[in-house]
Amino acid sequence: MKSFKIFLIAVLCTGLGSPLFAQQQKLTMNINYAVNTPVGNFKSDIVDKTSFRGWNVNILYGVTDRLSLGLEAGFADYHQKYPRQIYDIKNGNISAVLTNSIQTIPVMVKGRYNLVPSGIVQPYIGVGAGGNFVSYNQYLGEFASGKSGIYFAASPEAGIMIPFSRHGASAFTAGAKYNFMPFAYGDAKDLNNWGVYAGIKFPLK
Amino acid sequence: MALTAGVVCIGLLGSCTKDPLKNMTNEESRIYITNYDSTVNFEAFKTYSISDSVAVVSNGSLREKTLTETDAAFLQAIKDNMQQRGYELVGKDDHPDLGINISSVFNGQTGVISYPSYWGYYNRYWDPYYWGYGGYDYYFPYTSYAIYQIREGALSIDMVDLKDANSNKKIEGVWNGLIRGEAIFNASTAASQVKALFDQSPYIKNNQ
Repeated sequence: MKSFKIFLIAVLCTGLGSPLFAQQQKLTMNINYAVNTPVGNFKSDIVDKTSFRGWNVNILYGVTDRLSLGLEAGFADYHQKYPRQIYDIKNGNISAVLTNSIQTIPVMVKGRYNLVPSGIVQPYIGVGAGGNFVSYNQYLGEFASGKSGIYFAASPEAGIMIPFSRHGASAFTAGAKYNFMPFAYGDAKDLNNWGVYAGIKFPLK
Repeated sequence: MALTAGVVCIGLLGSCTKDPLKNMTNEESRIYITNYDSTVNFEAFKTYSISDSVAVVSNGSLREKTLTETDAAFLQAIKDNMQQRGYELVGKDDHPDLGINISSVFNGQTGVISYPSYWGYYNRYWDPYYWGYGGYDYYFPYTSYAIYQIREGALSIDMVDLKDANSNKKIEGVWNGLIRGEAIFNASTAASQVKALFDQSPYIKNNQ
């Protein structure tokens, strides 16, 4: 374990001072494939399956070598079909196969802070906040009811970038984020989830 | 390049949604809804009679009454379940305690109608004279709680209280079973569909 730590520190420090200002004043696009897992009420009452149908895309401007600001949009599709059950309704019952289908599309202002801007491996932290376009549909059999609208979303994240070359702005990216997504309809109290993502970053100009 | 990447992303986003209705079987598409008057003791009823045909109701009007192979299968399925629950089938002129009507409900309009309108015109489909209580109106105490949006065919089974019609001066509905979904009008699945309604209505029983 000790040798691994030494190796990690060495890797992180190797690039210090090498590809100087790789991000500053650069406009970059970062496209990631994302996997999202519901938590809390979202997981216990709506969908407990992990979504493998997700993406996020951001365009960030390097304000300084460490700080980038811009916009991010994301997408996740949650789907779960529950076997036929009998549910209570007022003065009766309904038997149905119940399917929950939820899509979230957050569009946020985003900031990302590079902890080691000149490293071969560049860890970063970030946060985004903005609107979340939600499409929430619950199917009883083939009959849908639901709610769509714009809600708040905030997403703190942590990840790493591994530049493809010492002086290039293109990089492999991977990270994890917690998606705070308030929402209320029926049994749903929120759509909070955590996710992991991986993709590439490349310069736009 | 940015534009291309954006277009590709949007295309990928749109194609990533899993369609809930894709690969859904006819059985999975169906819903079975039952409403009942919770103040009614179903053990107080001993006999029942059932309509000899099915009313075809379209946009609030009686179109016709039919007795197709499918209609007969549903009628028989209801008889089988009522017998299992301990009720005796008698003729409609033999003063049955319960009357059972079956209707196929269609709405050809693209708009949405609420289900209470079905009960609101009930005399048009099932004349109280049929049950020997001419001049009375039907009354369904649960109609205000059951608002369904009907865009296609539905099968409605209505159980009414004939035993107390004279004392109540009206024919009260005590139970309704509603089936909606794909391919519901099918003789081969009539028994299983009716059984589903009775399975979720254990209070319909007479053990005496």
